[in-house]
Parts: sequence; C-alpha cells; structure tokens
Amino acid sequence: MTTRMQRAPSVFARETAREADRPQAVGALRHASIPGVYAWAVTVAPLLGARGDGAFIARVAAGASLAFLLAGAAFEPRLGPRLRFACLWAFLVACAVAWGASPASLSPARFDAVREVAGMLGWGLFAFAAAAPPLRRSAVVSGESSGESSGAPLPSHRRLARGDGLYAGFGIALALSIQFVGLRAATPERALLVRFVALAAGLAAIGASQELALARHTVRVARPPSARFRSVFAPLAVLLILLLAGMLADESGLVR
Amino acid sequence: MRLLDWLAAALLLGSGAAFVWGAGALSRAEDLQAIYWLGVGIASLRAAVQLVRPGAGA
Repeated sequence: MTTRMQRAPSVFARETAREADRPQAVGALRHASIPGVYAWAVTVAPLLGARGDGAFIARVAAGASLAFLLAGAAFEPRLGPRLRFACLWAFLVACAVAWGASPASLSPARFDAVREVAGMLGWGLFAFAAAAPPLRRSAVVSGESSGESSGAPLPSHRRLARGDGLYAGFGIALALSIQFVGLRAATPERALLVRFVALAAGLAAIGASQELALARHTVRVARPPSARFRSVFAPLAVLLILLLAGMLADESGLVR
Repeated sequence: MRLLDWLAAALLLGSGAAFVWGAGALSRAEDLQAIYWLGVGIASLRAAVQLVRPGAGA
C-alpha cells in the first residue's frame, strides 16, 4: 500500500507527461487550413496553368503544396505536433518553389491589385492561424484556455479589460495601413519582397501593441531612474543615431 | 495612462510610419532609403516595448 502511494506521484507525473505529449484534439494546422487553402487558391493555384520555363516544376510544386496542407490538417490530431511542423514547412517550401520556378506567372500583367490584396490578406490570416497555440477539445467546449477541465472561465477570459481593445485596434489598424503600401512594384520579385517586409512589419506592430496592452496589467515595480534609463538606452540611442544620420544625409544631399 | 504609456504609443505610431515609408521606398527600388526607414521602424518598435516592459534589465 505504502509502495503504491509512494509510486502515485511518479504515476501522476507519467500521466501528465503523456497528456502533454498527446496530440491535441483541435490542432493549429487544422485551424489554419481554411485561410491556407484560400491563400493557396489566390496566389499559388494560378501556377497550375503555368507555361514556359520551369512550368512543370511550378505545377508539381503547386499541387504538392496543397496536398501537404490538407494532409497536415487531416492527420495532425492523430500524429501530433511533429507532423504539423513538417507539413507546415513542406507547404510553405512547396509554395516558394512554385513561385520561384515560374516567376513570369506572377507578373503584374496576370495579377491585378485586387488579387494581390486578397492574397496578402489570405497569407496574413494563415500566419495568424498557424501561429496560434493548439486548443484542447475540453477547452473549446468550456471556453477555457488554461488547461483546467472544469469550472467557469475566469472573468478576464470572458471579456477584454478596459482599454485593451483600443490597443488591439490600434495595432491592427497600423498593420493594415502598412499592407496597402507598395502594391505597384515594378517586378514580381520586388513585389514579393515588399509583401514579405510589409507582412513582417505588420505582425511586429501587432505584437508590440499587445505588449503595450499587457504591460498595463503587470505590477509596476518602482525602478530607479538609472535602471529605467539603462533598459531603454540601447534602442533609443540607435533610434537617435539613425534619425541624426538621416537628417545629416538629407542636408548634405547624400541621398537622392 | 501614464506618461511612459503615451511615449510608448507615440513610438509605436512612429514605427508604423517608418515601416510605411520603408515599404514605399522598397517598392520604388530605393533600397538605401528602405533600409534606413525599416531600421528606424525596428529601433522605434524596440524602444516602445522596452519602455513599458516592467522587468526589462540593462
């Protein structure tokens, strides 16, 4: 009896570890599959009809990318996170190979601005959905996210704290405003680069606005001014140096 | 909201403007200006987050 009781913690630990390793019921890739298919349909599916140099590779890669995405969504609940990452990266690499094999298919003559914006939104949604943590089925049913299997959700889970919506809206508006810049790039390669940079900048802006919102709820420890200055010194110094260098370059006519 | 929050929000807004200019310069193939404005945006964003982060060390 004593031995069994002594073994209980280790059994509990094993069960907990098994639970943690168990593939989640509602996986991130399954969530991301719908915006992924949408983004694929807008930006990669046209390559299925590619012609010219590299068209065969582009067609095969375009078809394979969709297969990877759907396979990941279908088998993720059974095979777990490793398959999720493998299929996610296989999908992205196959899309990149398809675009790289037939860049002429992405020329502005074939892609109008509306489709560019639609594809951009699709990839943005896919990035958000794929980055979300997987949810337990019990959490989906009860509305929890902390892993508890029973009980009412905490008040902070039910609604946003006052002012947080403003921060979130500010970050999203900032991210969206960045997305509408540079839609008329001269070459397809540059258009892809601009979209990539704009998407990364938008995600960074949203992340920073959320950090600002979260910082309002943390316990603010009174720090001496010197410690606060040290923590902000490096980024502020870089910012000031960049601004001064830009002003000097503009004055002396080095740029443009 | 405290003064630091306002300053961080202003830095965040400034970083957004810098990113917009950077992306615009990148699409016009003005790479030097694009790198400059994107650098300003990254530094501004980092400063905004670092300003309000409570446990940020040196």
